Amino acid sequence: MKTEWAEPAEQTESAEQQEQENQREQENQQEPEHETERDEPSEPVEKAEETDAGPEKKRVRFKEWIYSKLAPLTDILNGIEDDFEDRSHFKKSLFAMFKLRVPICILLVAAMAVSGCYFAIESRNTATAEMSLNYEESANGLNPNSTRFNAYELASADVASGMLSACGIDPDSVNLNAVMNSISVRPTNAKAFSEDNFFISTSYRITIHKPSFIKGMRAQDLLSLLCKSYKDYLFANYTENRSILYFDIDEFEAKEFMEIADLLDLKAQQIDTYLNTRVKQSKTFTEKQSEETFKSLAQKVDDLRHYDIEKYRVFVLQTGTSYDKAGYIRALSYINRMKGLSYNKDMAAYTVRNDGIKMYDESMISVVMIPSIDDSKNTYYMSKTKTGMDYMASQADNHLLTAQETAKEIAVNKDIISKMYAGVNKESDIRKANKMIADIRQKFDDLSRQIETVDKAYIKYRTKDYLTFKTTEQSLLQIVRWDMLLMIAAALLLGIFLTLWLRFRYFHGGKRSERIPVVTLPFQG
Amino acid sequence: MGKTKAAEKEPDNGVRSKKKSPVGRLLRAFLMIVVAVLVLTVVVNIVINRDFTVTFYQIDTIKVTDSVRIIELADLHNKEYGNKNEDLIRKIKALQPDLIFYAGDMMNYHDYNYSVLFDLSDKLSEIAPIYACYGNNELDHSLFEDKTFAEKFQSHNVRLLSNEAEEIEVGNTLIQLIAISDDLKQFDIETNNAKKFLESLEPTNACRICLTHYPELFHEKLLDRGIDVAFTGHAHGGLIRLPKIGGLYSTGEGFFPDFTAGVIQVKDGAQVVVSRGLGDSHWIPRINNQPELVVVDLNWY
Repeated sequence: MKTEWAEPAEQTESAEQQEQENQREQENQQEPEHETERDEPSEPVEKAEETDAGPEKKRVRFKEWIYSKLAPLTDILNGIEDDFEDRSHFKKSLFAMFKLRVPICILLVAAMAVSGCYFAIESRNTATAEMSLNYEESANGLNPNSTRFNAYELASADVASGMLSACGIDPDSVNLNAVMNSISVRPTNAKAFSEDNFFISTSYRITIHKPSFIKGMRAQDLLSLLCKSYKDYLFANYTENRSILYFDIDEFEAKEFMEIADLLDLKAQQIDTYLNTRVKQSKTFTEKQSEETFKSLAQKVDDLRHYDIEKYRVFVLQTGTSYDKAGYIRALSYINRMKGLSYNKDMAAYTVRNDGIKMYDESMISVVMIPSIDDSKNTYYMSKTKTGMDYMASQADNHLLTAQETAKEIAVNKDIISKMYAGVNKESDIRKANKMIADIRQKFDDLSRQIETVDKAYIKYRTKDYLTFKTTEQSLLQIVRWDMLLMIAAALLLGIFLTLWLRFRYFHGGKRSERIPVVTLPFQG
Repeated sequence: MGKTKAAEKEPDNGVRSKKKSPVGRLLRAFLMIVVAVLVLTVVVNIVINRDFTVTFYQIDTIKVTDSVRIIELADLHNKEYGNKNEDLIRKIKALQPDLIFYAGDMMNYHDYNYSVLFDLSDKLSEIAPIYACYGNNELDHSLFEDKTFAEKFQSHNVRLLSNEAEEIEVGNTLIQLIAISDDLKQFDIETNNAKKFLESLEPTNACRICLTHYPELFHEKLLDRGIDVAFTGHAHGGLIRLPKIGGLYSTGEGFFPDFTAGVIQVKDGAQVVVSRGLGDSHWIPRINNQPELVVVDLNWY
């Protein structure tokens, strides 16, 4: 009886091998049916002769060694071939796979483990995040300041440079294009890809593949720096500007005390205007920690303006404090002369228009047509109902108003000049005025910080930070790419099956067959 | 003819068969694989841990006006990266920090060789202002070994704070830095300064940053103190970091500690940065726990 481990009839061409096989066959005849004793197949190759081993001999010995290692497999396949001679190659292959299930399983597990490790290492170099635009204008494809939104700015040179700088890499020292190409941005909504559909996506998937020259940091960190760089870019270019809240240190350089009073007043006015805009947007918004609202902050600015700054102005006026009294008086006198000229010009314009109105003949009203603009249609037309007098009256009013304002400023300047003449420029007054300025500035700084805190909280509440990035931690299955692992396993199985099928189809008994088709009769045992 | 399996298992003439059972062979093979994997893991980690990694954190707080970058160094234990820490200095310089914090244990108790720390401080102070708090090593050393240590340390351009606060202005951002020197055991001592100091703190509009060596204080002691962000160390990342679980052991919290690495938001909303540290103080190797340099960007958006 032939066992599974029976030797193939024709195994090798070499005489040595033939001899070894004969030996093994004899052994098999002695113990024909004992599987357990064949756990470890006997070594067919004798111990290598250490001396005179030429390259040809070595090759032959290596070949023999390979054959000896493959002998159990060849035995199994030959056994199947003999036992299922009348079956199709497909069935033989399937049966061979069943017989070889243990080594096949080990091979699959090993291949999947190696591939899994590779994918896990590879996944460390790639990171993905989802960006959501939360502000109102994003639904129309716009930036917060209503300019056109372009998601691909995420992969722009500015943003990539910002990211590299944040990593501590000089952007000029690396290939910036390679970095930009390693960033990909895609809308998350599939509709956005359709040509017929003008869907504006408000969420995007950002993927970064860490370039090889960036070492010592994770892809996840690189992605977070990319997101930060983009936020910096967006806030610098497309959102509201809050620089108005802060003073420029150089603003007060080489300024007279009275001019500083005007500057402080102007700053307070600007902050007040900023706050009033916010009050119009949200009257009730309250910051949780400080419990401040925009209205309460506007009141504080008002107090600062009408109490602290006015107190300072009065002090400077009363004491006539100045760094350079004569120079300042000269400057104010010059300003007054200029303002006097403006006043005279405005008054002359006012008088001319008044005279024109008086000279306008009533009979002209029905004849003269006046070129006019239709505001609703934004078109010109010749009006019969309007008269030239309407325009002249309006212009006369404007000129008179300007002249009055100028006269008021001239009066104030005159008052300052007279106070300056009267005042004694004491050192102590200068010190006090400087201290008052420092106090007012401190109050401004505190107030600016409070306003900024409330403002930021409001922006966070209204726009939810304009945009948010959500990075998702990958599960173990995602890291090792289980879908790819399954495909690899399937491909391996298919490959093994095909190899076996080819073996049964073309290689009979370990040798190429004569390719005589085996006719299998139907219902054959 | 061959013997049957039963016959094979029987001892021959009272002598036990030398062939081991398949279970025993499997066990032996398994044990060998486990030992090999362990040895390989330790060796690979020792090699990896010769260098440090840079970890970046982005923290949101509306208390800052512009982005503020802070670099935290913790638990250096006199370790050097390159000659006189030149690798570390080069990296920090490239990262352009606004502030540099030492979160304690930068040197070793009983060790009078201060050159590593002082040379590093001299170089880093050229990059950004350095603020430091005491770690257990510095505190013990200055209490029991060298009482002049603090003075010497500060002479190298380091502002060493101990249970005190300092206001720092970075651009338009005002930061109130508070440094706590006491650990969990010393915290409740009546005569101790930390408790009194914290009770004396008044509310502020500034961004309050706490610098302390001991993250475990955030279980209870440092809660509800108006802290926005805290910088800590001490845990050495829990020595051995297990996937999905985290650190295995820290001297402050024992096994499976809560504060070993990363940014942890505690109950009162404070964000606690825990550094895995840059050096080692004992023989247990760091596994899956590379030394790290922590970079924190404080942003309002």
